[in-house]
Amino acid sequence: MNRTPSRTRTVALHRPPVAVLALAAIAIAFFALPFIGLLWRVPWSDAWSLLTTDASLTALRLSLETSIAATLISVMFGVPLAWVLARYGFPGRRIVRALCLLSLVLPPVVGGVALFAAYGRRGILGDALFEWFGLRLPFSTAGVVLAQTFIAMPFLVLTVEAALRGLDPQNENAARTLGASRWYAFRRVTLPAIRPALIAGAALAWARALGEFGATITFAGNLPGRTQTMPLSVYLALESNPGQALVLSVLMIGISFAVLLGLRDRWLGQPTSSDRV
Amino acid sequence: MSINAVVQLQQGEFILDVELTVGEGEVLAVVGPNGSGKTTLLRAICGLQPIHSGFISLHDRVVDNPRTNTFVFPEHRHSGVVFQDNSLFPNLSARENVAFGLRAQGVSRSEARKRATEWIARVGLADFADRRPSQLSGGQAQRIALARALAIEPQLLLLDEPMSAFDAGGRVEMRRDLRAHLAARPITTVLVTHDPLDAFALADRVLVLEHGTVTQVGSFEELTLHPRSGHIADMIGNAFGQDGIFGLALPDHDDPDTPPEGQIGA
Amino acid sequence: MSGTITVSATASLQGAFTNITAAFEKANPNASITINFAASSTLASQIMSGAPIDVFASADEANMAKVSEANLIVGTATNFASNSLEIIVRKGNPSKITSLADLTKPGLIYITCGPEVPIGRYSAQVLKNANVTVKPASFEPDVKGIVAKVSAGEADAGIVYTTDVAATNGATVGIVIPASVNVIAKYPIATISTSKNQSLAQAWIDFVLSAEGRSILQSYGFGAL
Repeated sequence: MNRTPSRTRTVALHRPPVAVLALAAIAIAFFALPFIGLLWRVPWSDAWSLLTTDASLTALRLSLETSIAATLISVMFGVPLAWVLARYGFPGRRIVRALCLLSLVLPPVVGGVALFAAYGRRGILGDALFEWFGLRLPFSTAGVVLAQTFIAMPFLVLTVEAALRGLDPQNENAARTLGASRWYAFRRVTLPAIRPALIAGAALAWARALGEFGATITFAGNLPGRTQTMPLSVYLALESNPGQALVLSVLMIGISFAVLLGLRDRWLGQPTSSDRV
Repeated sequence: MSINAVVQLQQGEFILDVELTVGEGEVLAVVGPNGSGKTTLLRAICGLQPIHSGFISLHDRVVDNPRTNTFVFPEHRHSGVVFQDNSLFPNLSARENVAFGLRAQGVSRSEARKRATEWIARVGLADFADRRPSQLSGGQAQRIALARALAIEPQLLLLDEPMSAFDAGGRVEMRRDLRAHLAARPITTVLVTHDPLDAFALADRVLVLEHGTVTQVGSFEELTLHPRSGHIADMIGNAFGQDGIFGLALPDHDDPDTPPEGQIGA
Repeated sequence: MSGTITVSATASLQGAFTNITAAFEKANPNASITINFAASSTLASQIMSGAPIDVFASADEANMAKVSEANLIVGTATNFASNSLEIIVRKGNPSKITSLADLTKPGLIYITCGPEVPIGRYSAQVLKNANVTVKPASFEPDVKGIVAKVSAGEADAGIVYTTDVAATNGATVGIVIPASVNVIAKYPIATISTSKNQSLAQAWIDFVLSAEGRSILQSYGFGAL
């Protein structure tokens, strides 16, 4: 164990005052209790059979496929957006930035309504999309991916943009003087330098996409196998089969928990003083 | 590549106004106190800092002229830069760092690797080729940075306080090596330094920059014998210790084997 | 009568119950009624999870039975209104629907609710009665969801209550379903046993069942029982 006596004493040196610890303890209980409650209420004896029903497995598969697709799209478009927002001081940048991050603070259902206005049959692009590509986004799996991307991409953009802003451009400058084009410098110098933030941003976006409900049910609708993702499945199971709702909820929580656990805090920010110590 | 430039720009309260010419293969040292604008001048020449008025012309090609809206990006100026903090890429090994410029310009991986290895040997760090920058001492990192800049065979070499990472002994060695490199392969060089000894050892001409303006340009002897300001006189006098300029025996600049400091009791 | 109560009512009762409540509060200035509209299945779940509801009005007897079997209603429920089903389409009937069979037209987007929601079950029954098989594009959480998407033009058709079509004030049009295959939905209402103001709850239910209440319901298109 790396808990030598000297390390324990050093940790104790940085322990916050008791009042702060008490408040923190209440906060921890506040977060922990619902999850403990869930685990307590789950019908463990039926858990496996409830989990492996066709409906559950289909919803799980659909959720994984759509959320991964949404994450990949978020990376493909979000990283360039973050680059532009972080480094290119064009006029109106603040407004554009606020616009791109808007869905972070919007209620997702509102996002769904807005998506209709853009891509629905009577939306701005709806008819065009159908005529040119034969694509009808509402009520389709592609629509699910669209809704998830709309809600989740800002998480990635925010994380990557912050990392780019915090990066000393000196290394990129050095690369340029060595003959690297802007793109080559970005690819070989900048991206490796922000790799932790990129991973963290992608993981957060994925987790958000996985849990997306409001925009999905509003815009893409709810059809098993096509648009019924896990969160929708949990919502519906609440009415018909509460035991199944509990089991599915625990599964989703387990997945998200594992992702967050895997994101060590050195990827979420600066190393903390307790790490350095 | 010769340099012909009038560099004029303003950053907040600070105004830089420098007229600069460097001949083909010449080494120009830019000396001056901290904050005089030396680094800004260097950044303007290599293209990291656009000027606000004037022009910069490298080998008769205009690379920066606000009036005609001309600006050539850094990657197209054929300059090799050694930065004050070496700016090595932390995620690449020393060899990969040195190979970077070659790879960026399309050289094949194996060829770039080969040339990088040669350059690392030339700066005397053959055993360190696979180390990461974090595993190198300050002086070693600076040598790798030099190898990285030279590996792309630039037509213009820009050095920003290249000795800053070395202790006194290291500086002596580095000056000697640099002189050897430059003697073997003359490159037009601009060397920024606050230490006049560097200028003395390496430069053909010296430009003194104070508060953004040039106070004197000439050979080291001229500065020594006819300093235009008290500050310049002090600067040179301090560089040579108690004996001042009268204890100075000027070395023969054409003899690469003579360590420049060898004749000075410092 | 005084005090406050909360009523959980199925979404299709939105217009009628809001009106009834306004009339009741006018006659009883010291009473305050809060109404909670959602799908009957959602409301039943909420009540069974302990939501502090005083009155439950469901769109079907099945959801009321769930609550009753959990011993959560006072006495037995009373059926107070009926509703029948219609095909809902956008104003102008752009897809030219004239019968249930037209719902199978290729490319037509038909939406419904899941089987837990009364309208979901009723509409499935109607289609079965008529021997028509349609694949829905979505199972909306409640009947208002169907109405919203059809009025907005994002879906072409759905099967909803006649009262829902009437409530859109012309934005949508109802296509009649023949009585031979149609389903009559019976709406039961009951006081919840955990109510803290059972007398007010009962008084409100009595108002719904009164002549004034029935006439308001009828004006919204509900049938008598």
